[in-house]
Amino acid sequence: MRERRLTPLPLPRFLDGDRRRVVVADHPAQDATVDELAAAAIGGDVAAVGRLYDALVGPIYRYVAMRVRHREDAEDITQAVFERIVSSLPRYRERGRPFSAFAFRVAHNAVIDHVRRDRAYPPLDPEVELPDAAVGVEALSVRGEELRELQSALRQLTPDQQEAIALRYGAGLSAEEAGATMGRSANTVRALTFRAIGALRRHMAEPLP
Amino acid sequence: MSLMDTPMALIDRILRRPPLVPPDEPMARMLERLAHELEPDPLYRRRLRGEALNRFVAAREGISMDRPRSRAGRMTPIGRAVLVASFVLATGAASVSAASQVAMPGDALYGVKLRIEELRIDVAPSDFKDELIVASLDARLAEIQVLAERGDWSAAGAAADRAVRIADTLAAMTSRTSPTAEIALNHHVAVLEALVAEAPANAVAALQHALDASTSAASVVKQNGWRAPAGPNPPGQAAPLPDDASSPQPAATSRPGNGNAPATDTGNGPAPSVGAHAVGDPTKGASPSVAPSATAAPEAATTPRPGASPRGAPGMPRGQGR
Repeated sequence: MRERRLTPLPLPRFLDGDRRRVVVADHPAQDATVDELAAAAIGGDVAAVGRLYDALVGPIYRYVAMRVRHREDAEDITQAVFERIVSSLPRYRERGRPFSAFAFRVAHNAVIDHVRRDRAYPPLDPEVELPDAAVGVEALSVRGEELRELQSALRQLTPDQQEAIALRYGAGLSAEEAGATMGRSANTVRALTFRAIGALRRHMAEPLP
Repeated sequence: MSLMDTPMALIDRILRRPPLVPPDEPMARMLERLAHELEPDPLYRRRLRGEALNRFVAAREGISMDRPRSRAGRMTPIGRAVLVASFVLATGAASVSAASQVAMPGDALYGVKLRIEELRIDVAPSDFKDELIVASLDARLAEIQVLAERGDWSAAGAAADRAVRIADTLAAMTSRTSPTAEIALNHHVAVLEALVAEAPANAVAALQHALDASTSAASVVKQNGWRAPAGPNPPGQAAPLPDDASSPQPAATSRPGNGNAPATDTGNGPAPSVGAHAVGDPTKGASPSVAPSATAAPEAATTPRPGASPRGAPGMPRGQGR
């Protein structure tokens, strides 16, 4: 289902520091990059915010969904991520990093907060997994025994490897973009991805308990 | 650069190889398939889009969209001020009310004490007004006694004037007075007689006026209201002990602890005066059904107990003798 676009008419916007002066925003082109959309959104263009959301919601949701167990958690975290991103847009200052790195950094922090909260309330008996927790990613509309095994194997990766896999394959970022998000070099991300895939292969070759 | 360069250069050269994970790697394809399956629900996506745009506009305009956190537990400054003011007002009113109950004529809170008594009488049901008026008269008499002991006879005279007004009010409602009114008035008469006897000349007139008013009110109450079982005991004279079941019980005119209390409170004898009056003159307000007998209702239920406060009359159920 395609999202209905906001009106393409130029919308008035207010400039920082001079809220009384109304200017007309220049809409970014249809093939504008995320950084161009972010620049327009920072300038107050509501339509650009909508397009920025359209560009980021899928990758961020997939990234979050690969890091958490439940669909509801993924939706809640994604909502919190966009609340933070949109609320901080008027105060956002570009520091030479792509906007997607900032957005995924916000998502990374939200996931970390969620994982910490999740750890604070472990199940009463760790040996007995609840049925809802057992399906994990499968509950996120994934079907198939093979993918369920993959989900289980992802849980056994190191946090950095999980992060690299989620950014590369969940969010679809390049090694450079993932590196900018993680604060690592692109080569480090590649190495993490390589080792993670090897670990996944080994884990999936083992019989399930 | 040869392979014999520094180890870091070697590692860097290895890491720079583009296809660390070949695209045809089965695991990579599985991960891509997994990511393809992870799509947000369209309705959720649309709803979140609207929320994001609204939040952006709110942030741009400087409007906070944060949900009010535990609004029920927070209070605005005005609400807090009203709460504190109400608490202070209630505490202050209760403190002043309590403190005013021991105020004497001339004290700052004495007016509050009188006003509280008036309010209490005004808001009380009609059945209780007479007892409250008697209680107010008791309070004035106690004030007169205390002021007389202090030697402040002018203040005692002023208190006597107030007692006159109360006695006149009580006399005006004799048809509705309770049995304790006559007992209390008889006690007042006795006390005022003693005070008049020892009062200086400048206070005799006011005290005599109060004595006359109490005497008049007592006579009116005695004629029109419920008849007390016996007269008051003179001050300093102990009430007679009941030596048999037919002897009348002493009137409850002596206060506890003043040496006039009887030695025992048998509580098992009949109250002849009550029964005689109730049976002989039922139109005076006493119900014939409450006429006591030797085996019926105990005496304590119909006759004020010796030693009991006239205003209290705890043994007298309300409604009897009316």
